[in-house]
Amino acid sequence: MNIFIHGTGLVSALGRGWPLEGVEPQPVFEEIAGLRLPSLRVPTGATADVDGIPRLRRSGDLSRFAVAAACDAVAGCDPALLAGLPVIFATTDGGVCHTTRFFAPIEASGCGNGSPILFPETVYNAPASHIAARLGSHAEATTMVGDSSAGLAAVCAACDLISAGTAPAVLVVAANECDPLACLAYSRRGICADSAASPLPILTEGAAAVLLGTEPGPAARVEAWSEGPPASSPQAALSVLERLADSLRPARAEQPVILAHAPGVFGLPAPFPTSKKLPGEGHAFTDLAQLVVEIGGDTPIPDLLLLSLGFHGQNAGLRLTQRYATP
Amino acid sequence: MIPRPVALASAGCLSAIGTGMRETTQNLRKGISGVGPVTLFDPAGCRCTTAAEVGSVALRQAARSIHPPAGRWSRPAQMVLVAMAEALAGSPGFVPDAVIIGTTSGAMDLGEKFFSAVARRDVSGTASAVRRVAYYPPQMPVIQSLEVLGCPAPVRIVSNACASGTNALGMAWQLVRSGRARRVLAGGYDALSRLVFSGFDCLQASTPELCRPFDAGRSGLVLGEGAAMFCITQEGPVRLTGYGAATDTHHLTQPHPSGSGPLAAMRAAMGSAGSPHIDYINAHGTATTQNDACESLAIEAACLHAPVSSTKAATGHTLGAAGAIEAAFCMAALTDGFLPPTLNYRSPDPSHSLEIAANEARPAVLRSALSNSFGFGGSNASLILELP
Repeated sequence: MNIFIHGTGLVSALGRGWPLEGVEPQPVFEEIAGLRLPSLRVPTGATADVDGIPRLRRSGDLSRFAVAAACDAVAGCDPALLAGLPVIFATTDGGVCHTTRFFAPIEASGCGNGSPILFPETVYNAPASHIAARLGSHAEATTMVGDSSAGLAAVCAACDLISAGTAPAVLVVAANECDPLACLAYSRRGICADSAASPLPILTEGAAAVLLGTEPGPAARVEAWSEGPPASSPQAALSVLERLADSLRPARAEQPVILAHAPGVFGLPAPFPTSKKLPGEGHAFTDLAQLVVEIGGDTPIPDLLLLSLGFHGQNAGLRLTQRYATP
Repeated sequence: MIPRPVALASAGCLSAIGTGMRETTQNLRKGISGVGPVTLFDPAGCRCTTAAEVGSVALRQAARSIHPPAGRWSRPAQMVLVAMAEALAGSPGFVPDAVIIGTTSGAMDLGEKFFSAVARRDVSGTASAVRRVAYYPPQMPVIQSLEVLGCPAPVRIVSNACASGTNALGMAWQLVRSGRARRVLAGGYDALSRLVFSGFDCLQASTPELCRPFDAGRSGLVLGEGAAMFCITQEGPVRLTGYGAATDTHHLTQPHPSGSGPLAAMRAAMGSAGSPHIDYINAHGTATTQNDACESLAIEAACLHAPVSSTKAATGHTLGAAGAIEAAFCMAALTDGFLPPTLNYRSPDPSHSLEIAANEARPAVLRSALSNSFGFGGSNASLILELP
């Protein structure tokens, strides 16, 4: 079955959309546990068009990023399509900002001090709910949680749905947000930078969205998709990526470009290069964003394998055929 | 696409009323409640001070008997291990193509400990907590368990609030039905935590009294914890014949008063199963004023005339595990021929005409069951199980 990418959306530290030229985001430093940790934030105003939506008035950045990217991906779609459009939302850390704000008074003063305004936005599927509400969709909205490979894993899940005939189109959105506690955890585990001078990527945030469907579309075509069992060691990690690539290689003379998103995985150099078009590491967000940026622009792309190996060894991959020239 | 048959080949279950399908089913039939005072943390300041806890000592022993180092794992990881081990033991040689698990909060207690260490500016405590917080994300209890059990397979975690377990089983149903996978290990888990307990309490969704699903005097839910896992393939003692899901966009935490979301999910499930006659309904039945009212309306609007029970008065509301645990209860009800009871039921609610299977289990010849799960974010999901 042919599955086409019809629309995309992107909210990142560079701003809204893709491509964005000449933008150099500067890290923001947060103080926590006696450390000054860098992060790359989405610039203020990047989601101004959704910030005023009444339903998002108590929401955190995660939901705003996700709704904005989703709206961009489905721009121009028939409302009748949107009403029955399944949504798959992927995240690595969820609404971590609201979660830490909700838990702080509980930690300080006991269980009876939670805020009913904050708690609902701590649940992993709050952004998916807001997306569905904004689009007017009553179809199934699924939230998947995983490591840095969750973005492509969500695309695999969407392709499974479409190929099973469950839905002719599915919207996939992946998002993550920065929080000082997350910065601390990732930097202490050697996955993200603990200073501006670190060779590791700086933790970043944002949302990416792709609209997939069976109708021929102007963007790339997904030819194959696959997920593998989690890798449990450095040696296993390398062989997982190799095996994923082998399972997705086309039976064609021309070999595809292979890019791998494998942040902080076991300290070994990945066997394949990484897309460097977006700064920082946003885990599930970066995972799907690499898909958006690689097929973005007006120049047809060569055949492409996108591979993903997360910091817990979860992994997923896609094979994309050459994109048609933008009309 | 030619739909393949989908079946629950075997199951593992763990909750406050038992470890294992056999003990759980026996205690369910006896009308035993697992609800008691909260002991895992101090609920001081909360309206609700009760929960259905899984006994930590028994849990640790059960986990250690499978894999001795698991005695030091997080409680959620121990629950996943015990339930998975039982399910796999019931299907020798079962090697899953995929693992799909529902949960709302993963190993939240490890995240709480990390926050606490940082807040206290405890340097050595933070270092230790950093090492352990790596096991906090929802996928880690599952990955840990699969490594021990020798089941290498891709892992998907579904987190759709209280519908997560049913959504996970539904995703598995779709994969096997479409032929995309032949064998899927699927289920749900959740463990109690201060954060989640406080959350439901501050919303006044938890009750300071007994949990009384569908009762006219109901006043809210009691939280629980546990896990249930299934080996899903094309053949088994109970078939998974239908699944439906829908999103209610009325409000982030409250259902539309008409019950339109639950109704859409039930109708979709019924449609996918060929609209079978339903002999038993395991309701979501949290005992909140709103949920039970909406669910009653939806069941009546769907013209489902079958005995209804909510087992949450026995197990507590196990959140991400609820849909899976209640599917296990439906499986037991079908194979053993009984109606699970709704405990603490005193006064019929005059706003509905549902036949509530109340207080005591009773024998019944059942060929089909419908199980509902509804959650925050407007997640609504229904499953249909049938005997072959």
